[in-house]
Amino acid sequence: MARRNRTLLVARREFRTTVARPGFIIFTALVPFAALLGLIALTVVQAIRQDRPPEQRVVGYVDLTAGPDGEGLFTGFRDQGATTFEPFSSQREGVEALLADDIGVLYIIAPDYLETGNVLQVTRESQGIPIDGGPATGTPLARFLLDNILADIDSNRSERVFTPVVLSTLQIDETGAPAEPATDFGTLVILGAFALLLLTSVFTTAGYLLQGLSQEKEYRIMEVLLSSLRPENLMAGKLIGLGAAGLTQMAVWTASAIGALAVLGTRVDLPFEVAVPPAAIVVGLLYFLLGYAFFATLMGALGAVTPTEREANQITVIVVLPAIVPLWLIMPLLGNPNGALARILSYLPWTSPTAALIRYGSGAMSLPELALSLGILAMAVAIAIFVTLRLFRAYLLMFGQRPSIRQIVATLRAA
Amino acid sequence: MTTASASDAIAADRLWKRFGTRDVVRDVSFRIRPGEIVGMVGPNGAGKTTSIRMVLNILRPDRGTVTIDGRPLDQQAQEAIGYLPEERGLYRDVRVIPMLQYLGELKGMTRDDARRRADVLLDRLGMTAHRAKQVRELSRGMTQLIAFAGTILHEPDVIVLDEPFSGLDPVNVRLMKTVVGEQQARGAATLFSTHQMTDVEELCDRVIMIDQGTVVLDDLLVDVKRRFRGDRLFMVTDTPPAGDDGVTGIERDGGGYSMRLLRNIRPEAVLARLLQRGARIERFEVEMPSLEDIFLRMVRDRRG
Repeated sequence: MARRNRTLLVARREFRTTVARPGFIIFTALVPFAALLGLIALTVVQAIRQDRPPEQRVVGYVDLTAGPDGEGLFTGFRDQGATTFEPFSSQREGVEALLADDIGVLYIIAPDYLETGNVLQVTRESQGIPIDGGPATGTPLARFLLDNILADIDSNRSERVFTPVVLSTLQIDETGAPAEPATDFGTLVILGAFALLLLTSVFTTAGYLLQGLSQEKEYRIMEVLLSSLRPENLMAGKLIGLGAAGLTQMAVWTASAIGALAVLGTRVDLPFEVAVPPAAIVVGLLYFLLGYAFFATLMGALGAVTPTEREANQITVIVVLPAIVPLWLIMPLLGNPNGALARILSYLPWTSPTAALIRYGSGAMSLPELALSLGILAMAVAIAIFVTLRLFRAYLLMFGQRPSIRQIVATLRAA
Repeated sequence: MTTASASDAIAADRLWKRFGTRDVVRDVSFRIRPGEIVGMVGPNGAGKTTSIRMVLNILRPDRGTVTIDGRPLDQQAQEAIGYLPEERGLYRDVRVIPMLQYLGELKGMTRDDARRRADVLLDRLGMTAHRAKQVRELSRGMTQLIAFAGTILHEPDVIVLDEPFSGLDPVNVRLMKTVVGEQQARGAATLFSTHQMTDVEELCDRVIMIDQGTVVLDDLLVDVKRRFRGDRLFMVTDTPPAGDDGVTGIERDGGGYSMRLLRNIRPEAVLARLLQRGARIERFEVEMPSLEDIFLRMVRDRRG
């Protein structure tokens, strides 16, 4: 009879039991569900907006800037989108119109407006508490005032008052030539989201590994397993099976997120293209696989040296906390992706799966840097596997007690 | 000590294992033949569990070798072993049939074969009604029976049982002993670790006692008892024994007499002398010490 591959047997069992867990199913379905919910909400909002034409609003104003000739500064440009400015010759007439609900608000433009900018806003008491202060430049009132003030100026110049800067960037390399175009904003957003999902998936599945190992120790299943297979078969099987479950989860999340963004792009103007270059997918996949192998192996080591599931869960913070540092520091990372902090975080195995992805997304990571970061992570995986296997052999059968740090160090030194 | 033979189901040769600075197992050797049930006894911390783990290939000996059916402990040899740990040993959130299928697959069975065999065994153990339940829903005794089914699912040549009857009610203890007997009849060798000497006396052909990491006793149960038998006799007869029959301290004991053998007098000599005197003897017993008495005596003697 052909010998069955024990590693694959363990892997298959781990995969099947993990993807059948209600917690895993619900958690995996969360992202597609949220995406679907967002799309439905957007569709509903759009449908409501399309059904209802914008409401025309009439506001009144009294222009007291009129000189001896009786002509005030604000006579034109009275239609400002959905707002129409209705002139009144006196405050009394304006107030009457306000009381008759012919206008929603009355503005009294002070005689010394040009010197002071003073405008008095008259509202009815029932309209709530008024907020004083100058209107922002984008409001219909500001636009109405500016259009009239700048009426005699060339239209291009007056437009620059409203939009003084349309900024674009040219990046140059060391020789002064234009640099390769940086990764676009869309890729950055998607890779940032991917980094977050990656970390979530890695720690979900690595957490299952820890939980499984702890249970196998606590309920003495470990002895039965080890009477049929070697610790390395067990560890490899768990890594492969749970890794496959994590990949499945990531595939569902990524596909649903990209799908939702693509649908979204057909309905609203997104500030970026929803297209991820294949290279970014490969880089993301590599960081997922290596990051998962690294963290799951460390979780395996914790599972080997802790006697109960509860105690194991308490010390996972040692592994988890450093890994989420790049997400805390995402703004400084994006602000200066070539700074010392960003570079260090993209090389440390604990932080590189997220920090390097963010840097790569911002276009700040050269190919040699990427290779170095992945190389260090791969080496860290190899070391973690070496250490964890030693701990597996030494402590998987130690029930109900935890080895001391000194014992662990002695075990590793003996190896 | 028995001598090595190619027909041994288990052959452990000069096993040593050190943890830290302590030699937990020192030069342990034993052999078990097919169809033999051997009890392994010893005080706590004597080295029984470590020895068993080396037989199971869970631990690697620092020195010495283990062979199963004459093969070194490779994957094929491991498949020939069925192991029942002291307690539990099953995933709690898994249903009975998938649990047994997984255990069978780990021992080289196909999933379908494991399922068919699981159905047969569950029926034999009266557990068919629980086949669709999760392990967590079962009582401790039921869990033990399911774990036992997992141990013999693949019809192993070697069965290793660690305190197999703990948590079982008397009916299920009897059932499990019967099934162990069926495995013996099939030719399986059984190594049975326990603190229950009465179980060893009932089930085992041979007993191995380990103390302080070494084998201090390895013999047929009947020979052990003979070797450690006491000097007391009990008989029911119409002719009261006398001092010149080779006995002393004669006392009435219920319907008979109890007495002590004189030094260097064998029980057969006493019986022959009484028969010579024309005594009618209804009952003649050499009081045998229980295995527990022997165990306690050996431990006491070894530790001064």
